[in-house]
Amino acid sequence: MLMLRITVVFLISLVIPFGSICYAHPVPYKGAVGAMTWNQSFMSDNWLTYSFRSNMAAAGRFMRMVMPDGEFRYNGAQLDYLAYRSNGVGHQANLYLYAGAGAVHFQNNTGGAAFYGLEADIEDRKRFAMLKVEQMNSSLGPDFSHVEGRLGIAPYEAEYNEIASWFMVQAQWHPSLVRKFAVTPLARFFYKSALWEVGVSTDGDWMLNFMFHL
Amino acid sequence: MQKLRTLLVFIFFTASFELLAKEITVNVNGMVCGFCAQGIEKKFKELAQVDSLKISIEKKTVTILTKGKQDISDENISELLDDAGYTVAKIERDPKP
Repeated sequence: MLMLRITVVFLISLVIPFGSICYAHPVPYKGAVGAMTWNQSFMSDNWLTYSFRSNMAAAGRFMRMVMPDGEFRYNGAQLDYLAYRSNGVGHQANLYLYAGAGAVHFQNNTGGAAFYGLEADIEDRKRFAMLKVEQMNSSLGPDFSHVEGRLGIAPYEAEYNEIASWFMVQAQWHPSLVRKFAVTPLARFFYKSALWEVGVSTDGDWMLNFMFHL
Repeated sequence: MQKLRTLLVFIFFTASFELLAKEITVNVNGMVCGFCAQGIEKKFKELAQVDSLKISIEKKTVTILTKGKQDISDENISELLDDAGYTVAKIERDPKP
């Protein structure tokens, strides 16, 4: 148990400094506490979630975005809503909506911002596709628009007690950041409630992401 | 002597079945990965009746072994799976009620 704790703390300490984006369900299951961190050189996105219903979660969101005129930070509260889920015999598909508000910090000024978005995904044991569209309107600096898509395949069908591996390609478009467009091949691994991802974009930017549920 | 032997074997098997735990196998729709199925394990382990459970992503089943002869109702199973974000396709019990 102590070793597990040390390992988790070590992994988090590796991930957090790299400052991100990737994917995990914004509403895992009723009663779940989740931590998700996506890290890239031009953006990092950190979520802490608590699912108080099977289709709704409260979240704290902490973002860092590197814009041409400086670093932009957002700290806000958010409500995640599972608007639709299809549970098939061999697949699952989801549509999430989320909205929130918070404080922004840019060029030594502090202001307010509203954040809203949607995320849709479909997966079976071998294939995965995801689309995310989100927008932040702030009282400071430029607004933040973000469109992200992912396609993935699993080289083998992992059982519950095995480490699962996926190979994915992620494309991101965010015109207000220093890196307006990024394509990142990445590898995803997960074991039970812990998931981690590592990738390098075609421009050489590292990606390091980590998620877990309690 | 033969009758006594048959009677003893019968009593032994009857007693054994009485002592055996109940096994409930639930076919689950939407369970495609271990990262998501972990919620199912957590939800079922909250139940006092559950002794152990086994999840098979391949078979899309959750097999629950209950303590003693305790049972878990279909409604309770459906509710737990709903909380975890999944839907029940089929529930089977061994031994059958």
